[in-house]
Amino acid sequence: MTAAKRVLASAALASSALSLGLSGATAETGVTDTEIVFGQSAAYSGPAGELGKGMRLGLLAAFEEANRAGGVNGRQIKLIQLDDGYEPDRSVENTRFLIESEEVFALIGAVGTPTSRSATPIAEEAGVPYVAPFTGAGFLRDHETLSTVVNFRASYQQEVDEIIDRLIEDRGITRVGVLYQNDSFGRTVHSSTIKALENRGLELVTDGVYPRNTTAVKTAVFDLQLRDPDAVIFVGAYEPVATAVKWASKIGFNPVFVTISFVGSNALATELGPLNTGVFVTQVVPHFDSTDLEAARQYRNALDEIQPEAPRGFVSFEGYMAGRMAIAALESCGSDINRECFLTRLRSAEPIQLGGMTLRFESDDNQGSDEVFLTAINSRGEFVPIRTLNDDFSK
Amino acid sequence: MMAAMKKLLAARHRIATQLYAALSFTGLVTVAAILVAWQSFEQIDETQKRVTEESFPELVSAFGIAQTTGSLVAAAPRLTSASTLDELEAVIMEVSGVKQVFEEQLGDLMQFGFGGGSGQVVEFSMELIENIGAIEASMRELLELRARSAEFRLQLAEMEKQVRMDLLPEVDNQFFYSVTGFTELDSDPDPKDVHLSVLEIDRYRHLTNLEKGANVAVQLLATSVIINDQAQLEPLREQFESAFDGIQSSLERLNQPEVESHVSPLFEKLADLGFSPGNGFDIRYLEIELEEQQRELLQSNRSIAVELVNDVELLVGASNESVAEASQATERAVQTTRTLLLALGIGGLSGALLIAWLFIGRFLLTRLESLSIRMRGMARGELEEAVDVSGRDEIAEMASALEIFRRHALQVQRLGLVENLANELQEKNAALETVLEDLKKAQNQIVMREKLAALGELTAGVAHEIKNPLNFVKNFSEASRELLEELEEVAEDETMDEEERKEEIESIHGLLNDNLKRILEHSGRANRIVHDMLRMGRGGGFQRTEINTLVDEHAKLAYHGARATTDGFNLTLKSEFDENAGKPEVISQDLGRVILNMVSNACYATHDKRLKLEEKMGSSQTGYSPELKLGTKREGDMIRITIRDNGSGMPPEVKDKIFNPFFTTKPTDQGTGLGLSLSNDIILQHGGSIAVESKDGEFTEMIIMIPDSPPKELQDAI
Repeated sequence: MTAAKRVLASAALASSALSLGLSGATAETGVTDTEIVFGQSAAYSGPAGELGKGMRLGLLAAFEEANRAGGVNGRQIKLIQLDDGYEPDRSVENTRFLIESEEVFALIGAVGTPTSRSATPIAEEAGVPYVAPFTGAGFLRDHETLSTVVNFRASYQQEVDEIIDRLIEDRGITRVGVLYQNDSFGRTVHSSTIKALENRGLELVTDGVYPRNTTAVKTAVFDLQLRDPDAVIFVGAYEPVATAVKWASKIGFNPVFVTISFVGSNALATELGPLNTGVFVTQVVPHFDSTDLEAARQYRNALDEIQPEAPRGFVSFEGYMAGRMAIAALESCGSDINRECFLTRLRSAEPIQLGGMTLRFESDDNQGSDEVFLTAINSRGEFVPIRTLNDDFSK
Repeated sequence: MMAAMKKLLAARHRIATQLYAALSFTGLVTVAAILVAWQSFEQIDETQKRVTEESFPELVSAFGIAQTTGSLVAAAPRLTSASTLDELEAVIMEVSGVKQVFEEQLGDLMQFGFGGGSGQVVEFSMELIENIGAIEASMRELLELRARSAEFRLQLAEMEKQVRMDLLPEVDNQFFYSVTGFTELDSDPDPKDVHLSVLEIDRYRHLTNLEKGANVAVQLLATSVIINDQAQLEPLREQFESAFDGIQSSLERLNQPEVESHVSPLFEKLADLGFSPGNGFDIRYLEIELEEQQRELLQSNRSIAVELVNDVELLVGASNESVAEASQATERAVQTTRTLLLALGIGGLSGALLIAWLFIGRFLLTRLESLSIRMRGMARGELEEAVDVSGRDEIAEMASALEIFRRHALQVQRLGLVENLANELQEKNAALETVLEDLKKAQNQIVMREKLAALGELTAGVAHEIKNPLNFVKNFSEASRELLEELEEVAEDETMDEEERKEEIESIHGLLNDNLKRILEHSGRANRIVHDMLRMGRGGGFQRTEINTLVDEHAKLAYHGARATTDGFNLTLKSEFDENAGKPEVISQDLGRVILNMVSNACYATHDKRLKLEEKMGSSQTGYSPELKLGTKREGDMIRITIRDNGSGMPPEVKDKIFNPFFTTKPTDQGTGLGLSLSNDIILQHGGSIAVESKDGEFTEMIIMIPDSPPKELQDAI
């Protein structure tokens, strides 16, 4: 090798060494002696904006609660939030920014399936924990391909299974239709429904699709009405779902309205306003006003500490529980907090007790809770925990 | 001048001189070593200078060029990979630094004037710099385009959302209205003939067309962003135009001012994205062009870099060679120096060792040690042995000083010993005197024996001399007695007349007279011989003597003596006497003995030769006739006597010894070895000399020179 070529070669080596150096320096990122930094990219605006806000509120309640108590091993937990408007491209941008510029310890409380779908590959590649996204999408529960994703909540499939079970068992309804937004979230729940029905020897009667992030749901409602199913599962954000429910009633289409947790219950109730019919909503957390549940009391106290005027809700309660889960995992690491330890705790079989709620992970299970809670919205726009679809929730 | 030279030559033996010489030699060797080292260092310095001033800068600048070429070539992709203008400016700043360095190095390279290769290097380098300038310029443009493109894409994404959020609800509303007659949640539906009319259905169709057209147009614009082939842009543009044509047609026929006013800004924006100057297609077209251009420039850069690196490699090779040459030269110089220094070192060291070992060790120290031993010996009183003072150096001087000291010491010692010695000497002298007495006696005896021997020879000669006259006397006496008897007969014979008688008596008387005369003569001669013999035996002092007679008589005595004592001896005696030889003053008896001795020797030599010849030839007929020549000659105040025989002669080694006492070539019973020794003494006593000429087997001639009258002191010494 001549001198000149050697120079070129070494230049190449130096540049590759530089890039290696960048990717290698992630050991204790986001953790200092005084701080642990979490990042949240979620929708704080748009048709799903209430979901992001709710999650943020819950997370902050949990983190501030811990910080007030002296932090995790003396470290205060900090949350950096970025709005992605429920748009996948912005989610990608935010996730990169949080990882590369803010150098967060972990990402937490993302909202939505399409957004998470775009963000997880980035987090996975960077080895950054992706904790408790506000979605029950099945692909996030693929423990074989995902190493940094940890879910708090039950899956959409579990929610849909519960819905179908209740419809069949409580009402004897077999003719089910799905109204869904045309994105990965909608399709996931759509296919989950088909699967749940298939498992019970049934077929989906009909479906209607609307463009995501719009309220252009009327065509879909019309499509559903044509086949007149006895129950319709609404898969979408609170605004289009409320619109669809209202237009269905308007045109005399009155099946059993069921929707799943993602809808954002408070917002849905607000949007729906007074109704002559009930809407059933599956939840992945118990009722936030529950008096028997320690966790619910703690949530309410924590929320009161930071924002007493803020309405309580399932989303912020989920956010709170997600925050508690993260804190529990951090505390298990002791003073030497690192991502490996954090993720190991959230994959270990030892249950995490959070004020009456038990989270169970396994090496082949990256989802803490499997519980689905049925609620109904009464005529006053209040959520009532119910056990069956036949329960009286009018009070 | 000559004296100075001699002094110098003499000084070479001195230790100081030798030491100085040795030191000078060592010094010279050292100086030579220093000079050699100096020279070599000069040489090394020279080559190192060559390396430092020529090859090294050459190498450095060539290497630098190569390095900077690498940096420049590596920098180019960094330029093209810059994603913002700020980033680009930062990279350009960096690159301009590198470029500056490169240009400086190029200047250096041109200054050092690398053979033929540099021209091409410069050319390539210029091209490289130009290329990088072009890349910078095009990159600025491209980044601007990209910014616009990014903006365009953002607008496009927004457009897509707008279509979804503005147009889709319109489509949704129109459809729902058409089939249900509802427009608002809080109002009643329109009559069926109104909402389910051709107009409403046509509106729905146009809205759907608008929605689809908008989507298609957006998709086409979006596709244009990802297209990398300029050629494919035109078909896209064509499709976009068609799609937009359909949009415009539907928009015109929509006939629904509310909706129109709601959605038309959307389509205006869409037209702007697809048609305005600097639209998406144009942006992408330019982008592709610039990217293509940059790819070409980068490719060209790489090629140039390869060429450049190759050329620089050649230069580096050349420099390397010259460096290697310089290094070799240095190495050679170092090697030479090392060898020379080693040789000089070995030479100097061996010289020093030799000086130390040979000169100091062996020569000086050994001698000093021996001197020291001698001194210690002298301290113990060993003064007898002389000190070895050989040599001409300081030690020799010390030795000779010591010798002088020894002698003084010896004298002092001896003074102390004188009394003892005197006693001892007296004793010894007494013993010596006894011995001397004995010796004198023995010597006398020996001389007596010689004298007796000479007397024997003489007696034999005398007896022979006397025998002849005595024979004559006897014969003449007998003849006279017969004559007397005859006279008596005549006197008594009567028969004879008187006359006759008388005559007879007178004749006999005459004869008797003659006989008597002869008897008288011969008896006188015998008397003289005896007289002479007596005179010989009597010795005597210097007397004027008839030298010819003396020589003749004694020669004859010797000759007869030899004849009398030796069987078969014969000799022809010749003489050549100078009548003017006269009567020198000699001790005739001693001189006679000399002649006698010498003639006897001559007789012996001739006889010896004859015997040897006969023995050799096995016959008495040898053809050899022994001969002895005697001669005298007056030469001024000197008389020369020569005795020459043709006998056996002498070899030179014998000739040199013949006057030594007791030297003889004769058998032990035939000579004493003193004859010639005494003869020599006698002649010396006469103030003369004897010379000998001889040739082995041929002749011997004794030449005696005697003064007419011996020096006074010799006469007095008698």
